[in-house]
Amino acid sequence: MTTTTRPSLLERLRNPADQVAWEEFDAQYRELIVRYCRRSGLPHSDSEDVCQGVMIAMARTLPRFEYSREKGRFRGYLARSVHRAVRTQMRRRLGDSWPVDDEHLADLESGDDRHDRVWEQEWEDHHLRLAMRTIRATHHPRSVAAFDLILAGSGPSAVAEELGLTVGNVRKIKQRIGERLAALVEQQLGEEG
Amino acid sequence: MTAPDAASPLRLFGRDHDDREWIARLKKAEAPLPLGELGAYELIEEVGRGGQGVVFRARRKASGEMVALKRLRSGAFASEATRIRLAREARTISDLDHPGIVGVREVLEIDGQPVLVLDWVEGVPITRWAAGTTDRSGSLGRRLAAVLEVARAVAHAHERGVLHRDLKPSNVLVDDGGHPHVLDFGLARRFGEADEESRVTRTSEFVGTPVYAAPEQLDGDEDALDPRVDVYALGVILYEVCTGRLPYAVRGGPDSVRAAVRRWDPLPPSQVDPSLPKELDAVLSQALDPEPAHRTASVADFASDVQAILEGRPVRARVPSPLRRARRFAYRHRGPVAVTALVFVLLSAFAIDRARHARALRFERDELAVARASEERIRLEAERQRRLVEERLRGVAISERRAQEMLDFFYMDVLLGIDPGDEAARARAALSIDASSERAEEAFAENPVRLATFHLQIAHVQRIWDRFAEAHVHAERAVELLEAVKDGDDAEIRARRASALRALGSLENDLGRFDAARVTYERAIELTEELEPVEREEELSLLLAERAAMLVRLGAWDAARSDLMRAAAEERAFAEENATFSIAARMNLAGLLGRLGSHDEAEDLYREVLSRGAARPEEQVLVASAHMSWGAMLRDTGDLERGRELLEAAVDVVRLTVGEGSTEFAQVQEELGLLAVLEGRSAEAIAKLRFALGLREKLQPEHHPDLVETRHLLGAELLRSDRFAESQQLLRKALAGYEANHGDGAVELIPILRGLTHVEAKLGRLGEAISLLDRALEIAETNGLVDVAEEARAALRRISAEIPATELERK
Repeated sequence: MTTTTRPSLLERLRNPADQVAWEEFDAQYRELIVRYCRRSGLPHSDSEDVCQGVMIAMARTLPRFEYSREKGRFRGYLARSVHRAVRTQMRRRLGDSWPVDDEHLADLESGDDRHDRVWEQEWEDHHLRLAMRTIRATHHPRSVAAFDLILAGSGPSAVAEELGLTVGNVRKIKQRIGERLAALVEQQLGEEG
Repeated sequence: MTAPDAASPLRLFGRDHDDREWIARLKKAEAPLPLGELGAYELIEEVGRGGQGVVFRARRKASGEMVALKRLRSGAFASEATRIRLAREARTISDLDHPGIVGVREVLEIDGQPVLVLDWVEGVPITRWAAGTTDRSGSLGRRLAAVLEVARAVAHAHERGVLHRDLKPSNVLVDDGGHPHVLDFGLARRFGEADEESRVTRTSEFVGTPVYAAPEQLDGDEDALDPRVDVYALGVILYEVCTGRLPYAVRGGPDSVRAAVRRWDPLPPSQVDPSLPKELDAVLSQALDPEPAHRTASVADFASDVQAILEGRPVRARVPSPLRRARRFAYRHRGPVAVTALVFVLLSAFAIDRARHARALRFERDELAVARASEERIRLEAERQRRLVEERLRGVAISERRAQEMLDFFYMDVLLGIDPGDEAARARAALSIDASSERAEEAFAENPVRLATFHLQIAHVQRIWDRFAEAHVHAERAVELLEAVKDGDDAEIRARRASALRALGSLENDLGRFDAARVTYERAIELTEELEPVEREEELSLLLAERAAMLVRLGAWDAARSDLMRAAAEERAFAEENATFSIAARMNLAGLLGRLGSHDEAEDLYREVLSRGAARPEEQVLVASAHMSWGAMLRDTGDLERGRELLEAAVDVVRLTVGEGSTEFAQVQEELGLLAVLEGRSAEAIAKLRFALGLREKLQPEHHPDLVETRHLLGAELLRSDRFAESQQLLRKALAGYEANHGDGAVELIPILRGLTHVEAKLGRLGEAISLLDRALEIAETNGLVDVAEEARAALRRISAEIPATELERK
């Protein structure tokens, strides 16, 4: 499942001229970064700025990023970059009165971002969103519609009735999409390194 | 059976959840995030993100009023230049005051960053709005009126000296009342002004959206930008609004778009949707002209044409006849080389095919470059097309329009992208051609005119590949289809028929079927003569010149001369009436007059071409051609000194315009080589011809007629210098080339057979020489070339006298 011959996005980013890869990177990670900034308490415009700054830094460093399959390497690197940028932005906005949790940063810089619960959650959400995006683009529209109704809180029988399916169908759809989601997330994690 | 929680997508994060939990989690992950505030405004949603700015719909907290906020995408990281650009955009819009232009309310500085507050327009992009006006015929008026309003708004901006430069549907929103509003002057620039601030927008690469950008914009030529870039964009929008599709079915970056625009005329709107008025074809043909000089000069003119259509008045733009389109098509393809080619047609007996192949040449190189640039896109598109074909085979119906798109793609991107020297690719493509012909016959069973166009396109490609027989089949089918069309008295159909007949005649000529070609040309000429001069454009002169070329091949000098004289008269009338085409038309006329012996008049015309062309950077290739053909004319009339002067000037212009690695450069070296031959400077001639040959061998496939001809020329010159062995080698190769291109019995073989006879005789291989002469004699007799046959007989007698009778008998 994790073996893939397709070069991962990160591998493609080693070529600074691969505009498509950069656009893909932007599309995939922008939302993660902005959401994290917002949850760290920055207003939207500042979040956009932080995100832009991180993207610029990534464009500078990722082509030289030593790619390895070592788990969490890129994730840790991204987390540190974002956290540092958020801190800078906070300082710019609030002056030195902004309390900086240096210990926390030291943790992050040691490569373990799991101390940051917010980041961890956002990062998980990011992968769920990405996988869901793939599912919406590839699954049968009726399955996606059924799943969206489930997400919106409808029960299996209500979904079945609305879409003219059997309850068994709906359960099957939910299970299949759940499995696919898991598989996709696994694949994404494998590619992310 | 899988246990329910084993499916939880969250297990990878080290936790297992039941169904309800992971679904809740997913819901949260996908929930939109509130955007928050920006100064006194509450951000509601992001509505657009461009290269530089992000636009939000926002509400003013105090009043609840809706506005659009534009801030720089790079925010605090924005460069000084970007900030200046946004500030300038604000000032630019403030200078404008028109109900069709979205106004700026204020410019704020929030956290040290500029933010533009603009009127909020609740609307949809004009193309989507047009697609919503479902009843096509009834709503044409409304759609035209909307575009007219846009044009007037843009004309207003132009009056104030502001170019928009990025007009596209997403920048033209139509409100509930059907009124359009132009927004996003982010790329706007003042024209006729070159202050420091204007330089801010100067970037070496193209900025904007490629399909709506004028070709000169795609070239990145900032100085050439004038109101006509907005005319072009409005043309694309009008086309899309009226037909529901883009004039060019091109996806991809500026390079692909630029290549398509330079190569093709868009399908006239009335052919996409027959309910559209012909006047629209004219207006759009002019607004979308790739050459700014030929494009509608101002947005105000464009607006008044659109208004004229609305009111049923005649439009200023001329209705383009299919012939005019065919001409423009030809100009785009072969550029001025074709004109040169035409001029060269009769210069020497073996230069006959140069016209055709010079035309093909430019093609090959351009197409090759395009193909390479967009290989990946083509691969993806081909894959998509393959899937569509599969769908089709599965019985899923494909609309006629879709089929047309597929075929256009097939022709434009696949066939023309094939390297003519790549035999394998050509063979593969030939299979696709057969398959697509069948599909086209099916898909366009109800539309013979479109089907005929397809067959002509295929004939064109096959001809470039020198597959004359295959091309002939398609051209014949096109003629057959067009002749069967009902309402055949329609001028347009007759013009198309004439055009198809000319293609067929040329191919019959290529194939050596001269009797058939005579009949076909005659029919084409008759048909063309029935057309009004305005409808036939240069078609008649081209036809006559082509037939003249054939007649020369057949030795019918008087008839050829009379055709040329008529062609010249026709060309002259055309040149006088059509100021816009005068440079190219004058080139043609000069060439014709030169051949008719009116050298002084031809020279006056060349002089004019050069002086007019000097001021037109886009005509430099034409200028190069003029130097070349003028120089060649002088050379061939014995004025070697001035001929050399002009040809040497041509070398410089060619070097500057197309470079030293081009077939044109080979051509001009070859012309100089021929001049050196006449000057008696054999060493120089050989050097030049060798250079040309080396270049051609690099650029052209083995039997390319120009390459073959260069071998012939060099072989002949080596023969004159008594370098027989080398000459023999080249002439044999050339003979093989002529045979491959024209067949074993073609009249084209005669000059080379003659030369080779000479070489073999000099090398003492008299038997070989006699058999070559025999062949020449047979060809001459078969084709009724009495003088040539007589000459061959005489030569045979002379050689026979030189060899012992025994050897003759043995032979």
